[in-house]
Amino acid sequence: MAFIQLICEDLGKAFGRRWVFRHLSLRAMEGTGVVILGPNGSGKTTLLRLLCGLLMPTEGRIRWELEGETFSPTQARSLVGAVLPDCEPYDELTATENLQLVADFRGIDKRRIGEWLERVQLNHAAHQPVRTFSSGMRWRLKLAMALLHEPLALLLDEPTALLDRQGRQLVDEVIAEQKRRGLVLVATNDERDIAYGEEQIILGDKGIGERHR
Amino acid sequence: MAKSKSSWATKVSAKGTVEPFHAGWWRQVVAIARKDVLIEWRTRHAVITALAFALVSLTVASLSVGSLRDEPNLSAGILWVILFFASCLSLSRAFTKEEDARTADFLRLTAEPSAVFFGKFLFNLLLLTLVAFVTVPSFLAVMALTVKVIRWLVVAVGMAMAGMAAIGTMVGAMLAKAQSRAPLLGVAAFPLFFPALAAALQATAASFGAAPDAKDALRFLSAYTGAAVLAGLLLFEAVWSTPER
Repeated sequence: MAFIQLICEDLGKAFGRRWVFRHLSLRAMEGTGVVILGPNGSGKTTLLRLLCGLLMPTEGRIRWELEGETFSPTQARSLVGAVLPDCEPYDELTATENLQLVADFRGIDKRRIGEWLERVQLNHAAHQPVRTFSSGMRWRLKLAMALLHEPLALLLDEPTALLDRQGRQLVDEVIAEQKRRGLVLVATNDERDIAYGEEQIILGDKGIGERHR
Repeated sequence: MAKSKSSWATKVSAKGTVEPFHAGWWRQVVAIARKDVLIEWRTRHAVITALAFALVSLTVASLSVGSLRDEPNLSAGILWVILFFASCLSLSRAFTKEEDARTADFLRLTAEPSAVFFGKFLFNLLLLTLVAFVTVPSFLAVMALTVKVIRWLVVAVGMAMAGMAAIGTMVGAMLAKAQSRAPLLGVAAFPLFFPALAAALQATAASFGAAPDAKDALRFLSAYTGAAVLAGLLLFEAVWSTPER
């Protein structure tokens, strides 16, 4: 049996009367990556928000399984690290202070903060307020905040859109490492990111998810 | 690797039950309160807004009614009108700033809901205490009032502020996504604040000499505050953590 897996059954999400997608089924196993592809507005970010329990599905079911035990997305939040557009660091705090906050919330040794600042190449800006960061630096900080507790599942939204070549290399490394630890789901509309997963979910204009291996 | 996965499994299994007051929970509470104090110290939005309102209304009240040395009931009423609206202005910011800065989902994903409630409650209480610390002595000085039993006034203000901080934290989280949120807090929370305000008013008037005793009002205020904090701890998860439809 897989150690961690994500199972979505006949999932659908509507806002008011407009269906973003329907009939989406997916099973992501430990050691794999799933890439969610689709144009803007096709529901990629919505799907990630559903998976970490920030949104409730209109139909269907999501469950996380860990060592045979089943958890709802809300219960599984401590398993997940997510880099989402609406999940921002605090502008008034420095990068170190933001990571310290994550360490306090997740019960992690604060010595890891320095390691992660170095890893995402932000050690030169460790004591700068986040409001002075470029969008790429902010994304790197969000990545460090998502990974500080070494989650079993990593959800990334548009991981390479704001990054330079070095940043893309960092994402490559992080995703490879994450697959060794658990599983990763990447939402993107950049076809170069397809290589991050063994399986692709394509969300189309018709609002129906298609699976490709 | 295997060891760290097992520890995660244990932690997730325990998530279904509410387990406040363990060491990790207190670490989260302190982190949330410290983060809010740090941000407020760097921006000073809530403090300046609340104090400016309190001092302007105090000035207007003193210009219109002059000294209230012989009017203990009226002076208690004016003091609590000022404190109530100044408090509403500060309380409304605790969650609206999280929604506006798009940091609310970060809190939802990483911190325990009851720890978010208690951390925000402590921050709000600190803020309201600061507002009361400036407003009440200024009011007494400007209105030339004599406090007969200072202990009653201190306990009434302290307890009412704690009760309002607890209710305001809950209602603030519920209203954070609504439009016109700041004025809405005062309106929506008033029925819940009303018992505390009524008891605080009675105890404050007694401390100014309107009544011989304030013990019943103070007892009621203590019970109200305890119930408000407990209700917040128990109900906040449903308000804060339930996924959006």
